[in-house]
Amino acid sequence: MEASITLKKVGKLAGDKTILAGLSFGIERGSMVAIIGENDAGKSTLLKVLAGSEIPDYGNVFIHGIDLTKRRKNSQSYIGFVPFNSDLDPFLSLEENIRFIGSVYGVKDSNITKRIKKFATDLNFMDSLHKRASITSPGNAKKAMIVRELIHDPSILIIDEPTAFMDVGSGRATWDLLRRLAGEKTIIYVSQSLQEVERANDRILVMQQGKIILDGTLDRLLESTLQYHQFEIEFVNLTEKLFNKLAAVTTVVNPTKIGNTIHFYGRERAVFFQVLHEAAGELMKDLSVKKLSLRDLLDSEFAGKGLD
Amino acid sequence: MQTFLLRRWWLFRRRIFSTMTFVVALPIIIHLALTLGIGNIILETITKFSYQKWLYPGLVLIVNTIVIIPIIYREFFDLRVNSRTLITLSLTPLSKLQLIGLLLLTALAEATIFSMVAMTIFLYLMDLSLSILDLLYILVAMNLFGLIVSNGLITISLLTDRINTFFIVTFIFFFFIIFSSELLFEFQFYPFRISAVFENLPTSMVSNWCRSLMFNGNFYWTLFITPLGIGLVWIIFNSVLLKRKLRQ
Repeated sequence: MEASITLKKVGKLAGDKTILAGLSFGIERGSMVAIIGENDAGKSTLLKVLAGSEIPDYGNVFIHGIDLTKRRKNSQSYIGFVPFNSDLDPFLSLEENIRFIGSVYGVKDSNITKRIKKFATDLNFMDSLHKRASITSPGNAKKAMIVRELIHDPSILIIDEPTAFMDVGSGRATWDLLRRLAGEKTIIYVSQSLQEVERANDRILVMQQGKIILDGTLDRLLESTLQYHQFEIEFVNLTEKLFNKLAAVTTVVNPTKIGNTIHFYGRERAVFFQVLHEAAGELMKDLSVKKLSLRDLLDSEFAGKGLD
Repeated sequence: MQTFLLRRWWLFRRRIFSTMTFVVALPIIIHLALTLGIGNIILETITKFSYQKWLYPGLVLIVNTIVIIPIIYREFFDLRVNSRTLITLSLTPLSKLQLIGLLLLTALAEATIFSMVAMTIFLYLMDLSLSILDLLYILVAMNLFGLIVSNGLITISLLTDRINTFFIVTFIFFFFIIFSSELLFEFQFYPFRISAVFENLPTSMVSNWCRSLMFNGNFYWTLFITPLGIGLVWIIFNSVLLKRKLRQ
């Protein structure tokens, strides 16, 4: 498939700190890409660089083959960028904010009206369009920002936290709209809601310290943890001696002790029975077994080092 | 341009009462505070013209400067530092030069309209009769003066990130402009060395150009072209500054 965005060794520095560490990857046209990772991983900076809001210190970003830094005017029309916090003009109404940006992009008035009506209906905020941005709810402001960035019909939509500040219904409506637009537009977003990312189920980039440490679909990412389970056993009295004995079981991975509870990972459920066998005679209070999710994948133990 | 003017109209519509109160009250306050007092001390200029008539363009330029300050503050400081709307605007296909130029031109257009209201009020309060041509010269001077002042304020807005710093620097800039541009007093009142420097400031050239036309009928091209050239070059400088400030 044709690349919508291509990054070649893109780096960003803040003093002597590396924010983005020579990133190289491509994003296919019409795909939906989630960027996740811990705080300060460089997610928002990556979005800003992709949107042209900040230029990289080194490397190149290509939008449909056009260098974003060198031919900014040509490439900028392809992009719509929705930052995390409201960047609406507080003294204009939501509709005026959208209309103004639409006109700056040279969109016809009739098209602006048509698109505002369509998207505002989709996102359920038609009634708030006339409200001043400074007095509207942050959720509606976010919706208006999304509509504003869709008004010039960009082929790439970049969103920092698509459903931030929104109630459940609004969040659902936003995701419905984004899923409908995917395929027609390339959508790149940052989200802290891993459930949302899991549901969107497209390509996921996991960032850590300015690097992309995992890249793939949810299924592919979880492949690395396939058959891994997380176990928790709470004892009445988990002594150091007992913990060391259980941790010494060769199939136990990453054991940790919190109070009287031992947490560990294992490739098969059989590990659980081996541990139980070792702990025979000890009084237990509770136990649980669960398959690994995206959340576990993001835990530093996995994302940083991997299980193996 | 039409889009940017429409946006200013939307903004004006929302605060029509407060803005109009300000625009009407401002020349009245200036008249009470400055013209009435100074007009009784100075009756004629050193060059033997009526001081009230000589002062008139200066007062209009002062009003113009005061009106421009909140507009530029909003467009280049508030919308950049607080609401970050300027950053979004910078991501549109407009170049930084176009962006600065359009915002500046709409600011000048709005300030001109408000200053015209002030011109009318001053004419009434000061009981002056000026020809249409004189008023036209003042209008041109007002825009030329506004071009320089706006550029100065844009530079201040882009160089400062804290509101306190912005207002302190703007306050100093404002008073410097008022007393260094021959708006209230003739340069002959100043020590020679200071007046020699002030005379060559672009803002002084504008007021000098306007008064030369009004009182002597002389059109000095140098006094017109130089501030215009400086204003246009300053727009380019500000667009580079904006680009650097936004790290784009």
